[in-house]
Amino acid sequence: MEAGYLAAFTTGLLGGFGHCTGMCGPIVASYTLYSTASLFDRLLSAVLYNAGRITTYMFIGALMGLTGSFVNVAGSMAGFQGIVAVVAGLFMIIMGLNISGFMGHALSLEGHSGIIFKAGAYVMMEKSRWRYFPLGALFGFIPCGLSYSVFIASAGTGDFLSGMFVSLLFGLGTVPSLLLVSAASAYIGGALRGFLYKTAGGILVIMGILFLVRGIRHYAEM
Amino acid sequence: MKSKSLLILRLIILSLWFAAERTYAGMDLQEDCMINSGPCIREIKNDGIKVILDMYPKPVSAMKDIVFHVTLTDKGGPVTDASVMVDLTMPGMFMGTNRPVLTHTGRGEYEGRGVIQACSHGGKTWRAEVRITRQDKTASVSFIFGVE
Repeated sequence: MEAGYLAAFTTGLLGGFGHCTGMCGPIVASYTLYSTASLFDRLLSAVLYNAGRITTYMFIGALMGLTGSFVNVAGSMAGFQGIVAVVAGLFMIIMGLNISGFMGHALSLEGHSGIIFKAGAYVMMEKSRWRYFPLGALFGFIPCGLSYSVFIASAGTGDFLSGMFVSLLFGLGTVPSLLLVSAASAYIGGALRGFLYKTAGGILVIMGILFLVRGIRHYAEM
Repeated sequence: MKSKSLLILRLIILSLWFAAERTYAGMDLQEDCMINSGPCIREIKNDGIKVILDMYPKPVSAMKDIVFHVTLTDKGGPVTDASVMVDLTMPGMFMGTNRPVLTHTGRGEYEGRGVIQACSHGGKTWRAEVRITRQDKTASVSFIFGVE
């Protein structure tokens, strides 16, 4: 089993740079670019976001290990995962529009939108830096082929704790790459602020639309 | 300030291009195994072992329990002393390690269960590398197939 733990961590580490930065990097970049806090606060936000994400992985891994079935648990979560991917897409679009200056404030949508916009706006307007933990926990549910491979391994352990530990190690393995994206975004955000910030916001909107399409497609295919 | 920002922008674009090139290289591979039409056959070079791969239930779908069935024959006779594993990978996209192990069920037939995970960017082409270990020697054959 030790080899399985090592494999999970290695999968996270290697996949983090080859897979996560491309698939989930835009989310990390969006909240880092959005923030006007200090570099330290932005990196702390990234740590909290990752902690939330890993907590969700542990929860799913434990559930997989407990039931011993990947297909049953994944099937039960599929609808919710699709919704989370759509929420992530909307989140990125809102952040992108805000950064670009095309939308005054996320809360301006509150009056004429649904609960998802309200929740998203609340999370982003909440002053506490701890808001990034629940955000990471929520977005940890985004459907991801790489994490599925680890959840299959978690289910294969047939044990609550082992399943949770496999997913924990995977999550920890993905942290360096996503922290690097956060650090780069924080630096770039500072450098581009007031110059090419509209471009950065535009890129986030495009990425958000891609996430939205992915989420809708995932939901439709279930 | 302006030249520094432009330099950073160029670096970002170069990095994104490099990442995209690395990520999506090989995604245009053509399927060479129509698994939903029936089993696919390969022969191990220099060894003469015939490998027949099948999967069911059909149509083969992601996120479903799949039975992987491999039949091995050597000069017409069944190969009963091999260790068989299927290494599932997605061309051009790292999707972690997914290797269902197959056990011998008799007459050179090997069977095991696994799951092919869904890819959120929509990719549906997978490679199954069947690895056969016999007398400390490992050989493999590759099948590129599509999932629903």
